[in-house]
Amino acid sequence: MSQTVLRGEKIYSGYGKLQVINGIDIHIDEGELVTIIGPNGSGKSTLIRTMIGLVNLFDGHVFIRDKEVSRMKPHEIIEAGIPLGYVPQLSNVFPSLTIEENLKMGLFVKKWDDYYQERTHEMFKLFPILEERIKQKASLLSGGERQMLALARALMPSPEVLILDEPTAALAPNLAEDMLQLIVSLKKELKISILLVEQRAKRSMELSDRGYVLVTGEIAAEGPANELLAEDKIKKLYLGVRDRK
Amino acid sequence: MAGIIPIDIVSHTSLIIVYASTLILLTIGLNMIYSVLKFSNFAHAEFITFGMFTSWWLLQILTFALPWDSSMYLINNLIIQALFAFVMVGILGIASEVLVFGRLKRLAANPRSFTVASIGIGLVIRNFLAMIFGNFPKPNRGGTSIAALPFDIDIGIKQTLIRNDPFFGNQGIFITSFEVIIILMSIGTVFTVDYMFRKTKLGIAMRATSDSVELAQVSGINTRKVVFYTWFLAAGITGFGAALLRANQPRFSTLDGFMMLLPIFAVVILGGVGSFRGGIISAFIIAGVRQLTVIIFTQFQSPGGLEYMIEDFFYRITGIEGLVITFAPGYADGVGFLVLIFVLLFRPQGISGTVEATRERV
Repeated sequence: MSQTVLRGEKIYSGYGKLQVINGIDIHIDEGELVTIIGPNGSGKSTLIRTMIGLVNLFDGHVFIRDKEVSRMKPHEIIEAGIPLGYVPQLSNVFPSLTIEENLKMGLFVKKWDDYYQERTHEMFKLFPILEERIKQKASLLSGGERQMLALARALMPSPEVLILDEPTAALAPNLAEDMLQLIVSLKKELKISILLVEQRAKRSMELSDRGYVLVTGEIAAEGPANELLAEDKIKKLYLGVRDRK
Repeated sequence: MAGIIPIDIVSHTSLIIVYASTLILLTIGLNMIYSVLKFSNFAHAEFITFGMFTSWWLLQILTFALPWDSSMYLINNLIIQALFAFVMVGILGIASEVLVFGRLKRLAANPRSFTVASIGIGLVIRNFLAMIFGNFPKPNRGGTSIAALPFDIDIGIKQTLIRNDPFFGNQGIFITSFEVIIILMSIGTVFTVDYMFRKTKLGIAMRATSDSVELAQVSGINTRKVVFYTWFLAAGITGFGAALLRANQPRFSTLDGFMMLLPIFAVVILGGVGSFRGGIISAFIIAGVRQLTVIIFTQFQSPGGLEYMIEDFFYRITGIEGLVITFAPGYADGVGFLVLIFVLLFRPQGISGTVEATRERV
C-alpha cells in the first residue's frame, strides 16, 4: 500500500485577517501526480503556499511524511532535511545568478561540493540545454528554459515531493504541452510525487492520477482524475468542455 | 624653478588616488544595501558621521579608562578605533533594520517610504550626535583628538621625484600614513566584498535574497538572517572607513558624512548601482574630474588667468569694477556631477551596465 507523502488536515489560512482557505483536507500519496484546479481566486496557490510555510496557517496541520511542518518557516522545513521541492508561479529562478549558482541554490542547506557534481550530472541528462549555458545568468534564458532551470533547481536536493504552481503559465501552447509531458516523465523516471496547480485544467487532469477542484477556498470535488473528467458538472464549470447540442 | 609643465602632475595624481580610495571605501556599504535590499539608504551619510564619532569616542573613553597605558598603544590605536567603529556602526545598521526598515517591510511599504525613512533616520542620528557631543567635538580634558597608528614606522610616501627640471619643473608625491592605510583598506575591502558576493555561500545567499525573498526561503535560506548580516557588514565597513577618514582630518563635524553623501551617490550611480567593480572605475572618474577641475580653476584664478580676463572684459564694456565670474576650486564637486549627468544621458545603467552586458554577450 502506498504511503502518504504530503498531507494537510483542516487547513485554514490566509493573508492578514483575510481567510482564503476554509478547512481543506488534502493528501498526496507516493508516486502520485495530483492536480488542483479551480477558477481564478479560488485559493489554489494559497493552499500550496500554506503547506510550505509561505502563507499564515490559521488552523489545521500539515505533514510531510510523518513530520509535522505546520507553522514551520520555509527555510526551517528545508533545513530539517524534509524532502520537498517547490517551483513558484512567478520569480521561479534567481535572475542575477548564473545557471550554476541557481542549481547550487537547490543544495543550499547541504555541502555544495559533496553533492553538486553528482546532482548536476543527473539534471543535465534531464535538461541538456542547462549544461550548454551553465555560466550564463538566468535572466538571459527564454521562458521555457527558465522553467527547466526552475524544475532542475527544485529537483537538485532529490525531493520526494515536488510542488509546482502553474508551471505552464508563461509558456506558448506548444511549450506548455511539452512541459506537462515533462512533468509526467519526471514522475515516472524519478519516482517522485507531484502536486500540480494548473490553469490548463482539462489537459493536466488527463495526465494526473487524482485531482481536487477548489472553489472559494473549499474542495468542491475530489477523486481519481478519470472520474472527475467524466462528471458533467465539472466538465462544464471547470474543464471548459461545452455541450455539443 | 617652474618647468614647461606648470603643474605637479604626480602630486595631483596621488590626490586623485587618495580621494578615489576614500570614495570607494565609503561607497561599498551603500552599494551592498542597494544590491540586497533594493533601496537608497540616505542614512548612509550619518553612518559615516557616526563612525567618525564612535572612533573618537573610544579614544576619549580609553584615555580615562586605561591610565596605565602611558605609551598610548591601546588608547590611541587607529586599528582598534576603526574596528570599534565597525562594530558600533554595524549595530546601528541592525538597529535601523529592527526598528524601522523591517517594520516597513512587514507593512509592505513602497520603496519611497524606505528612502524617506532613511532620510529621517539620518537626521535623527546627526542631531542626536550634535546634542551629545556638539557639532565640532573637542577632546576632553587630558584627552586627544588625534588618531595614531599602532606602529612607529611612518608608512607615508613623501618624496620629491623631480626638482627644478626644465620640462617637468617640480614633481613630488605626498601621501600621509593614514592615506596609505585608506588606499590599502579600500583596495582590500572592495575586492574582498566583491569576492564574497560572487563566490561565497553568504554572498550568493545575499544575491538570491535580493532576487526573490520567497524563492530564497524555499531554497533553505533564512532571509531575515541574511538581511541582518547585510546591514552589519554594510554599515560596519562604512564605520571602518569613517574612522580612517577622521584620522586623516585635523577636525571633524556632524556634517562631514552629509558632505560626502553626494559624491558617494555619484560614484554609485555612475558605476552602476550594485556594482563594486563599476564603483572603482567611477570613483576614479569622479576624483579625476574633480582634481582636474581644481587644477584648471586654480590656473583661471592665477594672475592673468581667465578670471582676470573676464573681469577686465566686463570693466571695458560697463566701466564697473568687480564684475567677475569666480572659478573657485571649491566648485570642482559640481563639475563631477556634470560628468555624471553627461554619462547617464548615454548610459543610464551606469558604467558597469555596459561592462556586464558586454561580458554577457562574450
